[in-house]
Amino acid sequence: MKMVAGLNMTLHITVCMKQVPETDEVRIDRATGTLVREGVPCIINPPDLNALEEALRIRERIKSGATEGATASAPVFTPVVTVVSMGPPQTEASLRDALALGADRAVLLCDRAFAGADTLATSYTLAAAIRRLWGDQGTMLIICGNKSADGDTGHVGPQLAEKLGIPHITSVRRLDLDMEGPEVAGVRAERLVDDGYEAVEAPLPLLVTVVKGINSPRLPSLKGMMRAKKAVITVWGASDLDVDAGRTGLAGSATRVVKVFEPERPKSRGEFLTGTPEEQARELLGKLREARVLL
Amino acid sequence: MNYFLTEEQQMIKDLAARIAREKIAPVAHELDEKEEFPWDIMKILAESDLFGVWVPEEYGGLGGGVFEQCLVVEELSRACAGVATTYASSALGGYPILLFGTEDQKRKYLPDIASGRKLAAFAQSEAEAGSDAGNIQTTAVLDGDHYVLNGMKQWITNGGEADIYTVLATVDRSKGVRGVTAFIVEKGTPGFEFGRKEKKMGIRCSSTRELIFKDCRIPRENLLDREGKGFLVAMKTLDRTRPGVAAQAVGIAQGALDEAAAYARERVQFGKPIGEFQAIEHMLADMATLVEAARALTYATARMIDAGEREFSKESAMAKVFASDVAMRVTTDAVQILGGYGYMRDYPVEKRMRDAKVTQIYEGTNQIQRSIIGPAVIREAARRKRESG
Ligand SMILES: Cc1cc2nc3c(=O)[nH]c(=O)nc-3n(C[C@@H](O)[C@H](O)[C@H](O)COP(=O)(O)OP(=O)(O)OC[C@H]3O[C@@H](n4cnc5c(N)ncnc54)[C@H](O)[C@@H]3O)c2cc1C
Ligand SMILES: Cc1cc2nc3c(=O)[nH]c(=O)nc-3n(C[C@H](O)[C@H](O)[C@H](O)COP(=O)(O)OP(=O)(O)OC[C@H]3O[C@@H](n4cnc5c(N)ncnc54)[C@H](O)[C@@H]3O)c2cc1C
Repeated sequence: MKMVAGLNMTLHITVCMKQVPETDEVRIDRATGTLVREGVPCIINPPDLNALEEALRIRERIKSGATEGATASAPVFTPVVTVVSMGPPQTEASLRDALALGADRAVLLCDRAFAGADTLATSYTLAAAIRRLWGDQGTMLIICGNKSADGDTGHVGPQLAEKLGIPHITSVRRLDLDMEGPEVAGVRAERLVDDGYEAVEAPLPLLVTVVKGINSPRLPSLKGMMRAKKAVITVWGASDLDVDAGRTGLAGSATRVVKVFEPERPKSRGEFLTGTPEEQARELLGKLREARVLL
Repeated sequence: MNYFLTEEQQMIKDLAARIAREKIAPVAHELDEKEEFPWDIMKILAESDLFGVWVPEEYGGLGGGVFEQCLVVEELSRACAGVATTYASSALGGYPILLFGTEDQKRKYLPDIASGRKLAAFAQSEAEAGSDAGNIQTTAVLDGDHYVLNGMKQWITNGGEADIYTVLATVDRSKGVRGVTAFIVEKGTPGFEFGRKEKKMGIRCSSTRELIFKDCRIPRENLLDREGKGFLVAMKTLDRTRPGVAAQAVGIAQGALDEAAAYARERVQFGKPIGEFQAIEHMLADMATLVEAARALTYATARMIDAGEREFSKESAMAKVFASDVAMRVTTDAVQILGGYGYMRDYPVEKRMRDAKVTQIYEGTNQIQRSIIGPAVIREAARRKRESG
């Protein structure tokens, strides 16, 4: 199956971006069971930067006609890169960073009614925003990160694809456009799995989630930063989207965080064995027998 | 010290610092060892628009000036002065076109220099014409619609790598300085070749190379300004780029100071960090004071030039001489503070000491700078005398 679009259509490339606290050591307030966000600067969720980079590269490849299989004729698609993020007002800073890197447009989904969303409510709201963005013009590619640095579920991408009724490929480490003349027929992707990768082909419209290794994100340009400083960021609340209030935010969340806790650090301390590999193996075997792990 | 940068200047400085930290510092040691031209980094600087900070917007730049250029050079130099030299020499090659070029010349060359698509270079020095720039032997003879160049340039930064060269030659050797004339020469012009690539003490990833002209015919419209104005073109250019050498020196010195201070906190001898010995503490105090003074003079000079002051040869020379002498002293002291480690090539401070040295030599040696400053001081004294009497 392939989808060939008509003349002069827009290829909407949408990057879903989440703002996360900049730290690998997410700390938890033991009293309230919530994440400690005070004093922690916010950044773009790292793989979402790779998602944006991939979108920008696709836009560049299409514009320069350098895509594999492309004929000399002008591309039929006009690629437009839009970044969408749901989050509190300070998310705007990350969206400006995305514009400085080269995104054409940024949309912030910000409303009290969106707060406290779990992945179900998040993908519901994102789906509504993407439907409004695209209408029924052109065709689409959505790129997400594979996982967020804080929530870490990896659910949002696949759920969003499901809500939009389009196929998805997760954990993509390489993405090539499949061109038929000047038209984008679909993509070929390499998808990371435990013992290697799978080669997957899919038509557009499509959602992919990408892993960090797919590319190395560019740095912003000065002209991009200056453009971003002046750019107007579109802000949509619940009333701007075709959503059912009971399905967004905390109200629309199917899950409840009952308790968040830090696991106890194991009391026993590690032990270092020394000597030749043979000696170490012998000693280890002895200790395991002693602990009655091996009999 | 807070220099109250504008939002735009802060943005430029932050971006240059980020590139220096993330992209240059990790490879600086390797670039030095391999003496490898830093094309990958030039590409990053180009994509970030940093080559255009001093170029007016109508020629594709960001519309800044000498000060913005200094901010970039300083940050890059904190990580690697060789990279910074390569970057700054493109402006050195481009400034004559901006200052003296015709509208056509500016439209033809500046956008490529501003975007970093092409590097530029500035070719004044020859075997017999170092400090004595009036003694240039390379000749340019008008033949119909072309000038024919013959001769050799020596120690040209970005030689071989750059696409656009500002070249000084003489149209009449008997006229000395008044025969010197500036031209734009493009790489690939028949008769324009490259000779020996030098092996250097410092800034080793930068390219320093001979240019060879053998009956090299360049179109007449590549003449910059008028015949006989080349020396003026060079002097007015260097007046604007010497604060950049000063900024390079400040960056090198700041990097060395940072490393020395960090080491002094951690290195323990006689049971305490060496930073607690007053001898070391006072060295750090002097180093920090000198670096800040050098930065202040450099920034003040750059800002004065950008504000439109007409005469600034003296100040520009003062910034260059002071900052480069500071860099030499501070990097030498940094090596001292690191002791034996300071002398080892696996530690970054010895490279800074080697790199610092060239800032006292190129774009006019510090002796020559003092020969600009001294007479200016005497002239000012004479003027005061005239005005009071
Ligand atoms: C401590 C903690 C506990 C949580 N517990 C639960 C729980 O029990 N059940 C549950 O369903 N969720 C839970 N969440 C996750 C939820 O609240 C989310 O943060 C949110 O729904 C996104 O999920 P995620 O962070 O796992 O994103 P992932 O699914 O890991 O993110 C994948 C990609 O989706 C996109 N994306 C994710 N969020 C957004 C956004 N806001 N805007 C735009 N794009 C986005 C990005 O491209 C991202 O790279 C928890 C989060 C935290 C921090
Ligand atoms: C790494 C490097 C890169 C360079 N890049 C370029 C470039 O891109 N383009 C370019 O045109 N040139 C370049 N040069 C050349 C540089 O500008 C010259 O080396 C410099 O101008 C000095 O000339 P010289 O080496 O011939 O020294 P000389 O002029 O021979 O000087 C030797 C010594 O005598 C002193 N001296 C000379 N005349 C006087 C005087 N009148 N009074 C007091 N003392 C004096 C000097 O200060 C110096 O100490 C570069 C040099 C180096 C080392």
